Amino acid sequence: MRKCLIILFAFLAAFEVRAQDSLSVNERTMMHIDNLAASGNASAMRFAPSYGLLSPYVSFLRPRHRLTSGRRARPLSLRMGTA
Amino acid sequence: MRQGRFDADTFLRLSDSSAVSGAVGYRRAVKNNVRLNETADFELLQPYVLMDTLGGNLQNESYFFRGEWMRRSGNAVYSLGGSYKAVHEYRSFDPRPRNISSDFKAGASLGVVLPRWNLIGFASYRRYNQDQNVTFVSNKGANTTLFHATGLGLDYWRFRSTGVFAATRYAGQGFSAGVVGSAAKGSVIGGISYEWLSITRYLSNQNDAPLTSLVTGRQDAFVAWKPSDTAALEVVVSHERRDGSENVIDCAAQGVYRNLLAMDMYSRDRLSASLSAVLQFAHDYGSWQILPAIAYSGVSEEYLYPKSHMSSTSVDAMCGAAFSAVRKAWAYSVQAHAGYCIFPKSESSLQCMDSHILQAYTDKYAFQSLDFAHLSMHAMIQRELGMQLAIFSRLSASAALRSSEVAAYISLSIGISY
Repeated sequence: MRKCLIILFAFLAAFEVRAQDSLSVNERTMMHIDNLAASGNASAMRFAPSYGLLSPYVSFLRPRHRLTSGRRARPLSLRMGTA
Repeated sequence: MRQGRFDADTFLRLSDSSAVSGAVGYRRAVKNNVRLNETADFELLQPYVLMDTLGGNLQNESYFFRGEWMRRSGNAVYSLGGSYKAVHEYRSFDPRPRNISSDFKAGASLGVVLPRWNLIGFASYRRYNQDQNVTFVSNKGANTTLFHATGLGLDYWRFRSTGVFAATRYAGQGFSAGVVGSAAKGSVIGGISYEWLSITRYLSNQNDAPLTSLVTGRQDAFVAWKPSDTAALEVVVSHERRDGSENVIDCAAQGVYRNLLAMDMYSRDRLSASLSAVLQFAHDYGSWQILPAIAYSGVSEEYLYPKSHMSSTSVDAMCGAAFSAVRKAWAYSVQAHAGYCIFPKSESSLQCMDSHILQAYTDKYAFQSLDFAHLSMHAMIQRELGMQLAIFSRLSASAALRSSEVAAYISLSIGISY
């Protein structure tokens, strides 16, 4: 069990380094629990998780048209679109 | 039920064109006062479960793993993935069932991406197994009869026992396939899928005599439409059909039980549909959302002989409100729902041979067809500890008020987001 947890946290830490270019944690969380963003996208990802590659719902690419660099996030309202 | 659980869920981009998603989960629970069921994964296997009239608390432990790798290459997108769930369920007084189940899925998807629309096709294979054994340790419970349920309170009379026919095994496999996609630059998203699963139940200590087979076919579909940046509409429809057949087994004169005949005895149809909307009002201090929804559900269950049936339809209207805001390093979210569910049509005709079971089923269906009001609330607070790490706490509570009975659920979670 302890080994599993160490491997899990090592895995999380490793990928955290790769995630430096994405949104802040609060921005991502707000986007993920946003009912408007989830409409359709959450169902689509339950059907095929690879749909996440085509949608900003979980892909967390910075939506530059809504947020300016260095600015704290406001609650997000994203129009879903293909990548 | 009381439970403690650990869950982790992630979707990580490895590069501009590839990502992995995964989830792990562990749950330790005590299911209080479980009646008329001793088998794990009841929702998947019903009606073919083992039951007794004593009931009691069931200890439950489960593990879950899921992983998927996906990549986009030009106009193509593809993925490979799998999941595994293991359940261990037992009771520590007589009769003492011990169930160990495993549920494995592997799947792949392939899709095409164009500027205005995309379409992904997917397929998966599923394998399910469960081993069940029941032991009697104390003299006190040794005369408790075990029933092999066959639906609507009926059971396989020949294999009633106090332990002789208690060791059973479930083995099954299935597949699913479907498509999902979006059009009009993501303003319309839709999908449709079909899942088929066949599970046979064997008496594992009687030369694997095959008792029953259950075939489940399920269709799911959804369409979501976003007419503007502040509104969305989603329709979800699901239909599930279960067909159960019972086998006539010989007397094992030559030491092996032979299957003489299979008869289709049980069927169940369940249709559910929902329409939900999201309306958003964004302000500088935060964002409000109004969440109206209406859901329909119809269930029809039949047993061939002795002729028994049960059917009910329900309509559930609800409305919710949500507020979320980010203040410096803090993020807040609160959501509340209230609704009322009515049962315009409900009827049953049950022919159980055991009076305890008949009474329990009659009470259950009478209770389940009573109109009820329900309320739920979710609150979340999160504090960033850096650009890539935050801690959060979430409180969820819900209650259903049915006649003078109140069913309540409360959950408190803490965790990290990264």
